[in-house]
Amino acid sequence: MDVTQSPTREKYPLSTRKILKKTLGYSVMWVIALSFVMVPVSIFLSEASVSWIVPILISITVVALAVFLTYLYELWYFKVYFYDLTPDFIVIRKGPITPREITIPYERVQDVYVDQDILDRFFGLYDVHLSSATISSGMAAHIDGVVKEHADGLKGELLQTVSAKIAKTRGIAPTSAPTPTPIAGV
Amino acid sequence: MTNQKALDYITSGQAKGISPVMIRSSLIQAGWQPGDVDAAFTQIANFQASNQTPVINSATPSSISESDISESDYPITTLWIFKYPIIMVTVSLVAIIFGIWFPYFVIAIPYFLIANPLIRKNFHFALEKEYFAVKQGVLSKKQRNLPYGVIQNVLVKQDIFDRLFGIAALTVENASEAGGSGISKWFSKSQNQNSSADFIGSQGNKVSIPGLKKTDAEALKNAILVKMKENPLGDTQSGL
Repeated sequence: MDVTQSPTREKYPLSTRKILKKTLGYSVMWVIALSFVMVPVSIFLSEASVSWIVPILISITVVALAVFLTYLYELWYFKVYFYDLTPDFIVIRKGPITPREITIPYERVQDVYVDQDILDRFFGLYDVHLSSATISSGMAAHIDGVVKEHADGLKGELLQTVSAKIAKTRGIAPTSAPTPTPIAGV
Repeated sequence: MTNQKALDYITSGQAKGISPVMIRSSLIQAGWQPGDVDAAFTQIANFQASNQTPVINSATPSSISESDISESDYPITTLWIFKYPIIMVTVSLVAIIFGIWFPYFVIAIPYFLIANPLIRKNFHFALEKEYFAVKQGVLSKKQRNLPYGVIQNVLVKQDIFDRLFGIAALTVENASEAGGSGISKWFSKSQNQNSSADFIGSQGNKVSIPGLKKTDAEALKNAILVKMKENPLGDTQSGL
């Protein structure tokens, strides 16, 4: 799969297991949602003296279709997922249909953390979150679905760049100031 | 009476973008007399001023044209006026197809058709030298000056409508707590969290410019990013 859009994604690629994880997560939701529809339909059909196999077949078909479409969507999502650590800014863009791109200056990063939800633990995936002081950055600025090695790499690189940038804007002197040589008459 | 070592230190510090206050304090900490340090700064400033006169002259026209970036360069498209009317008519038509007569949206359309052109006409933004300036308001006016240094993030968003018609919304956020959102603060809690592209201009901690052409949104974003890079804030807000 050719998805190397940025140097950062090439260096710390998303795991393809992310597609499976997201598909599984949404499939569970689909099964729950569809069961609300299919259980009454099945009862209705069984009262209309149709063989019991018909509602089961319908349910399986509908769920299979939903899962397949979810998989295609997640594949697409995976392909257009863009993140790049440029020299001055962090750029994250996601969403194939309604794209959302966030650009954060390193100086404004408040927090870098790595977490896993329960499905992430099954699949061995990690989410790298970084946020500025705004609500929308908390929602938009994360890179999820990388393996441990790359999560640590991303985290390390982010923290390193952030502290380097801050040291620069804070004006911490790179070398110690020269001591004055005694000048006659002072 | 200044020493060449101090002069070298100051020039190298300035080249690295360190603030003069920091250079001065670190020199004084190292044992230099404050008067000598100030004299060194004056000397360097004089030297640079005499040296850079042609550079400043050539840079002046470009800086003026940069501060000219405003809504006339990246206008809000006329399509933005019709965005919500179009969505409402579409939703109503789809509802009618499904046999639901749902006229409530349509009632709001005249409001949009009258209000939106006025809002658009009264909305101005400019990339000024130090501030991202926004002026807005039909009846009640609002002006906002956002220093480039405190911008927390820049968002470019497209919803489905935007995607279909090739427009985008640009949002610039700082960390202020609902700066001047007034009464809408109480009504738009969920909207704020959703950070939808519905509103225009400054609200809460953001300034949003919807209905830009996609290419214009990208260009304006890049112009703002350049400004942010040129105007770093000495004091960092990051906790890391």
